[in-house]
Amino acid sequence: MQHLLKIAGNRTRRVSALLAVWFCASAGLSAQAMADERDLSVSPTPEKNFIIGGTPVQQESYPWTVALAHVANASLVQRQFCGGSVIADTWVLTAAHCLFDRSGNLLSLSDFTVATNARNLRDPDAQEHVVSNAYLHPDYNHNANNPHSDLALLELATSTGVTPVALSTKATENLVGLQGTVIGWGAVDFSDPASPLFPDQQYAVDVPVVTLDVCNAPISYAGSIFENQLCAGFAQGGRDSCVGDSGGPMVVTYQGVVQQIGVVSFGFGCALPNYYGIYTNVPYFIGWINQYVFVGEPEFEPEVSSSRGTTAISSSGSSSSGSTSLFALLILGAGLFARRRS
Amino acid sequence: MKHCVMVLGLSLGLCACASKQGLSISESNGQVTLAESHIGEKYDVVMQRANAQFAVEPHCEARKISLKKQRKAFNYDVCGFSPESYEFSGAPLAEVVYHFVERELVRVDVRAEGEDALLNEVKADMQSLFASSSPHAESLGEDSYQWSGKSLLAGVRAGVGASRGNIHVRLIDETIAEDAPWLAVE
Repeated sequence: MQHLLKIAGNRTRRVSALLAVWFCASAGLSAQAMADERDLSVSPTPEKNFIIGGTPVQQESYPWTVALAHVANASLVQRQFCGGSVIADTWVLTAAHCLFDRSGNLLSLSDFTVATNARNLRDPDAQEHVVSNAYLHPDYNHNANNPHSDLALLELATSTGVTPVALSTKATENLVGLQGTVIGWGAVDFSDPASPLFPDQQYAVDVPVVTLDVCNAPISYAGSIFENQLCAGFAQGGRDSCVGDSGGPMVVTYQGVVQQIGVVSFGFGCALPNYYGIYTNVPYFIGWINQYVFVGEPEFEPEVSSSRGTTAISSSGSSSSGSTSLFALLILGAGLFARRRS
Repeated sequence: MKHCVMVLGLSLGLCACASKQGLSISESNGQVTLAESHIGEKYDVVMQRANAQFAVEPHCEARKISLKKQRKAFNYDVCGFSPESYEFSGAPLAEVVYHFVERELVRVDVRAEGEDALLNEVKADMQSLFASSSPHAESLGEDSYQWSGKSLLAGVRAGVGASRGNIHVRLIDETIAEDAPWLAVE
């Protein structure tokens, strides 16, 4: 499959070579610092260190959930690497970091598919859809130790036939205290990071949304979480999203309607005391999402996006423009990032 | 007739010795190679070469792992070969294990039957390969040494316990050692 590059925006700026790899090497130091801080914690150890604390999802409970899977000659169980949610018939919301390989290069659109109807990854009725376009939020910086604006939209080549999930348009302060439900195929046991235990079946776990102050405490993420992110979980740990859940939805039921408020982004370990799960704040980005798919007017002043501008990956089997170096997309996307910062 | 049989036997013995093929740690085209593979090589390339070379069934295992704080799952494949007719630096080769993340080689382990002489020989090879970045090996404990440079971590150690009488040699992608520290631990 060949690819086209579409970058909307008037100008781009050169950015530093920071873009070559993923998160900075200081992560090791940060992790050590966090570990040191954790030693001072008086929080009780959770009974189990594992969606971690969740339950298997009943058939049709969350029909708009999707699995991102590599294209390879293997089962969907082995190929699944992230989650996502259908927000319109041919549009999927996921995390931007899901679209990068371990070296920080953007995946090619032909490298992965989106699977619907896959509550169980071994279900023969699961349907895989080709991704025709992918749009990363222009402020996403894959190199950052704490990547903000971790959001991407995937446009599918074929109809999912799925009723989409509603996206919340609530201001963040109205989300705190709500019971979030996170859904995914991520690890259910992370007690041995070398051998996480992954389920075939989709799991869901309930976690309360906490204030940014709580997860920005010195004992937690120490001021690194911003208003475009949400924190959810328990001080004592024990329930959390985990490896393989990235990109998947966190939803709340508000006035009887299930609404997505978050996208699984990252976390230190899984379900550890004081280390809440970090989610991309979906309502914060409604303005950006609306530029592609109208999902409703936000009930607050959302982030301002000057253009539909984005790092966009486009794919067309009939295109003759040749294969694009998708790493260049990251550089250009970060160029937009630099412009916005300047 | 008796002499003919002896000569024939001796010839066959020599042929058998000569047929043992040797592996080592070396440098080729600016890249450090262990068991003829270098870090970053693609799964298909390594496995195709190893299958043809060793002509034994590999023991493979596939699973998903995490890297750093990400909650994205990454594919991890481990394949081990135990060929019978190979040597490593002149000693009988017991096992070669290839580790792949996202279908790229991130670690190679070699286990060979040998003791001090083999350990010293491999140490000398390592020292030569990493002289510019690691003038002196870092000692990780008794008979365990590590070199770093060229975006790699290279190590050699003497086997202990059930592995006594073996020398373990490994080559690891420095980045993966940071991203998944457990992968750099024995």
